[in-house]
Amino acid sequence: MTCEQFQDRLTAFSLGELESHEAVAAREHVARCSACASRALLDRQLTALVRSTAVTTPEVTRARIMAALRAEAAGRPLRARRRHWLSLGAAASLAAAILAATILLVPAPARSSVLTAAWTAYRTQPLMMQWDGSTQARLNAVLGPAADTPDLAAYGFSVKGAGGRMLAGHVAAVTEYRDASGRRVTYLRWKGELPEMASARGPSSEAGVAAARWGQTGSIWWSAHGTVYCLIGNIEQSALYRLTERIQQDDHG
Amino acid sequence: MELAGFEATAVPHMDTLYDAALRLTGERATAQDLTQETMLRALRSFSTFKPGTNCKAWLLRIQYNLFCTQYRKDRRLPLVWLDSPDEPSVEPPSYEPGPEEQAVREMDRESVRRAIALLPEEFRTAVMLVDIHGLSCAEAAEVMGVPRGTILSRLHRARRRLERLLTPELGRVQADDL
Repeated sequence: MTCEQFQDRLTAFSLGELESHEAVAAREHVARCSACASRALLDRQLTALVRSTAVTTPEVTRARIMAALRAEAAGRPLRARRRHWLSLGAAASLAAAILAATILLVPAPARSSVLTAAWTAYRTQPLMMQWDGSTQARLNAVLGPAADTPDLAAYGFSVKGAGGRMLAGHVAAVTEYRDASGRRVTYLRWKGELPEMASARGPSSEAGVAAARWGQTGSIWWSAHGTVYCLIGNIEQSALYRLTERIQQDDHG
Repeated sequence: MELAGFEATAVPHMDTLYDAALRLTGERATAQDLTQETMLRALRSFSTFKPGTNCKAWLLRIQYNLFCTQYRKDRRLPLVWLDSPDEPSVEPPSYEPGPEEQAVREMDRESVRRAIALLPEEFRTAVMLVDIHGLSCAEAAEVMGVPRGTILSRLHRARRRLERLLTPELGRVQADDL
């Protein structure tokens, strides 16, 4: 079997869906071709990643469906539920979708750009790297002064952790703060453009910044000089705004 | 109607049906309706289920038919979603996450979900049936009413497309995930 033939059959091979004589030939090929072996591994990684996105049924949904089944089994079917096309849940998921889209719309650095080396390095790093001299140097190279760690002590928040990581395909500096009662704020920044969607997201927008909130977690987004900034935390939105102002003063002062 | 047998055989697949419904419709409220209606139909016709065959595939076939006849709308692309806090992801986090870390992790996972959600419907459904919910290509072919070779070629093309979109994320998959 040639490499081309193997790659045409890669999906069927990974799924164990090849005819037996082809499966034998494919296994023989992988055993002696390291390029195709690593493609096969990548294919399995892809499947694992895809599978990890499965969700479970929310408890309230499960309870409702079980009630409907019991009523049906008892011969007393429940009246069909009216369909709320934009229920609270749908509205929340719409907000979440927009939030997600803002991240995805930020373009990845071009392969040939100065970011490439840092970007490649980050791909091989663990989820959150320890802060050390080389981390700081790399983030400085990518982000300039935006990589600095703002002092939020006056607001009761001290630095609990800092590092860099890949965030949806981008090199991001991450600083984590905590206050005395354990509430947390994370400050993220990465190179890219804040898309229009992030600044047109509803009533909580103030000049130059956009806000999104889900559950206990609020966030504020803004961008300057080609860098996207985001503060996320389980604190009140007004407190997030105060921290945002403080950080922006730092930048401009 | 007898609920006990149904509860033991079909109800354990509710998570699969809900996840599949969410990917088909792209909306939580609609996904909930579709899941409930699928379960009710399955209960009514449970006598036609052949014990010993794949119940998950049987349920997904009912759901996909229902989706095609009553739920599919010619409208915008499906939305993507984030897990709400009361809705834990299948994959447990490897450390105790704070809300921000959870959000950051979720953003990464979200890019994978979004890449899947942006696939054309017939590709996305094949990925959902085979890669996410573990049906064989023959079972998926029966659900979608197409030949087995069509499922394989849809999967192949979907994977190559996802591969291009998700190269950075792939670097982070740990060996234990495989």
